[in-house]
Amino acid sequence: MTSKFPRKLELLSKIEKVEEAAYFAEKAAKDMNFSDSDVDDIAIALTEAVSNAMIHGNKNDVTKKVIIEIMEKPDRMIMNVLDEGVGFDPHNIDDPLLPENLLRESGRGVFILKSLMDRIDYSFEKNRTMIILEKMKRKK
Amino acid sequence: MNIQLVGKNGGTVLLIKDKRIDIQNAVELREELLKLIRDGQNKILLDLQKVRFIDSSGLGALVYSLREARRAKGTIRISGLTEHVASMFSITRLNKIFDII
Repeated sequence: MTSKFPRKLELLSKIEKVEEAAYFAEKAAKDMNFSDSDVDDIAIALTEAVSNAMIHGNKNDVTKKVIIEIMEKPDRMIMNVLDEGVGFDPHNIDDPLLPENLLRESGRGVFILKSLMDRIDYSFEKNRTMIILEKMKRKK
Repeated sequence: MNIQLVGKNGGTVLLIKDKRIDIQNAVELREELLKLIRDGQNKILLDLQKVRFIDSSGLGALVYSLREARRAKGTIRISGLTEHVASMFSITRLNKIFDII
């Protein structure tokens, strides 16, 4: 079994590839000895980030790539998700917990990311958006 | 989407046999539920005991279907939530919207 990091996965923007990304993150999290609950958090958070990157970043253009990089630090896991989009304003996202938004079909992805990870950050460059997800290691 | 009709006691009881409800099958689930609602089966109990992974697309499909069921004077109840799926309902406060048994 390899436990070497960093690891990298490149995917074309096809929705059927999202599950592959989830398993990639799940395997990495298990190799870093995260708890089962944290492994699930990490897999779902990466699913949300990759879905966003494909749909909103790359606009479902199947020729555009999503790149996932996973790094291990002594105290945490870092996952970078890069797409070829023009970015977005992370402050301009409706709160899905407001009563008027609770019954909306969409708009929960970024909120779920923030809830499941310990820190998220963004980096915007020309035709490249990166979301950075961090999960702290905890004693089991 | 692997959905099994397991009963019709006081409503339509459906067992979701997939382990994941996510961006890949959420639309299919929503369409299956909407078809039932349109056919007049608007009191639905969804058994999610086999599901261990749900993302925002899956939650969105359930919320949309609930809205349509309510519009048809019915409802969607949910049972069998596994620990992590329950936490997803909880952090998005959908546990306040759905009747979870």
